[in-house]
Amino acid sequence: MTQPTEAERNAAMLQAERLWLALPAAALDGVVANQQLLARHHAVVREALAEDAE
Amino acid sequence: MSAVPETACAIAAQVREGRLSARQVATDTLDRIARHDDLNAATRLLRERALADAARVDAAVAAGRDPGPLAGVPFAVKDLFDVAGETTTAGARQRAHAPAAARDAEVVARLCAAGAVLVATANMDEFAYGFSTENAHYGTTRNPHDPDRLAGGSSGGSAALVGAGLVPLALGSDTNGSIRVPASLCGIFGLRPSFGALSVEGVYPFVERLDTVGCFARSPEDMALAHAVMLGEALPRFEGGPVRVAALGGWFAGRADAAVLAGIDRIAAHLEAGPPVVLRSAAAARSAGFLLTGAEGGHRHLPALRRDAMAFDPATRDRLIAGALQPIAAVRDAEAVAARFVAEVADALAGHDLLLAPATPMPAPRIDATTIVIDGQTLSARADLGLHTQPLSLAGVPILSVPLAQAEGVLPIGVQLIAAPGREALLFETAAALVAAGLVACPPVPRLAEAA
Repeated sequence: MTQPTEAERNAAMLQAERLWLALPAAALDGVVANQQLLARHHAVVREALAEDAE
Repeated sequence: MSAVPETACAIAAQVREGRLSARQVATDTLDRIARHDDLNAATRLLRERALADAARVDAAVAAGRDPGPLAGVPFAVKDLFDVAGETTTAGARQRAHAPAAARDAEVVARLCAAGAVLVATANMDEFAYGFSTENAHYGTTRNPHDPDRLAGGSSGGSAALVGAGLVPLALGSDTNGSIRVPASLCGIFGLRPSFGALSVEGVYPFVERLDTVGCFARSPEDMALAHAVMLGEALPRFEGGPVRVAALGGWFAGRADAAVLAGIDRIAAHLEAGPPVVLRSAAAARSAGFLLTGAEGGHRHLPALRRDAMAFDPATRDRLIAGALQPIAAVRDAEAVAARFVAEVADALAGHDLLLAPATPMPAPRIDATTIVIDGQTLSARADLGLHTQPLSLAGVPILSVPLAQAEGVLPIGVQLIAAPGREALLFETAAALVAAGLVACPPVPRLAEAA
């Protein structure tokens, strides 16, 4: 797991605010780590769709 | 050593014949679960209810009435099934004081109407979001074959109770593998039924597009009996001539312990399988399952996260929040891949009656392990337990995890038998044939240390 950057933490807090969710400080790094995991899964999905489109 | 037989069929036969009292079975079962509390598998013993239900069964037998096909069979339920008069916690501390359920979940009611006796609720990952049954509020459920290892999840409490031989039947739910994973790690049979076949009424939801309920058992016959009772109708026998079988290759063959792959080879040879089948989108489907689960789960719990995020198990909370924050494009892309994968599975099952795949990539990881190296690849000892179950959940097909027959002392691991929707009977019949051939077997009930 990579250590979240300040930019990633700030982005997560902003995204959460848009859902009217105040991100607890204790959750911040865990949420970012899970976002990174989901982003990797989304990349796998996008790649599969792109292969189909070729 | 208990005088109560190990299987539901044997218990019901003896109770129906008046050779064993349901009360004796219930009392013995409740006492044994209490003595083996160190597994942390049961969350509540339902002693009063169990003894009252057992008394009704005994009264029916004494009066010459039919006590039902599951007469006196004790069973447990994952703590997300409604039980009349009890709070359904779904493994969450924040639900500990929620109003008690007014009635039993539909499948629980059906089992009880058939004479089964509910004895306990069982531990789980909070809100069923996990593959390990590590719960910040209710503790970690331990594997009955090695208490230093995980039982798997999220229905780990139910699986551990059956694996330990403390109950012959238990109910769980399977969204991404939450029955098949713990069945594999605990060395028992676990069924994810056809999507929509069994009622989820009175079951706390997780991801409604994927949620199913099913049972754990120590024999295919017990599984078939309990499934038919919950279905509410007799299972149709499989009458399709020779069974066309193939192992799944590609994604399902490259990230698994050598022992489970060898076991699949033995089963494939016994069933005279054809060449392996590759589902092209399997890897992407697994990722799609991950994304869809996070999105729906996250949005389901968003109001509670807004109210008090700190009331959640930290691991669940962080997954749910990240899931809710996903861009809509991720969900749309995942849905497109899911649709493609469903078509691939349907194609494969048009040409085959049965497909084979590992249930988990590895036997039960140690509780203190975060990663496991399999075939030169480092896998998560938690999330990757669902590598082989998660993509298949999208297809809505029935899947039975069966325990490979192993030498004594070897940790259990399971194989998924996969069929077309509605063909559960084929899964049970095949499992029974594999047991008869010595290829599939539950490990012996472990000798458990007794709690002081």
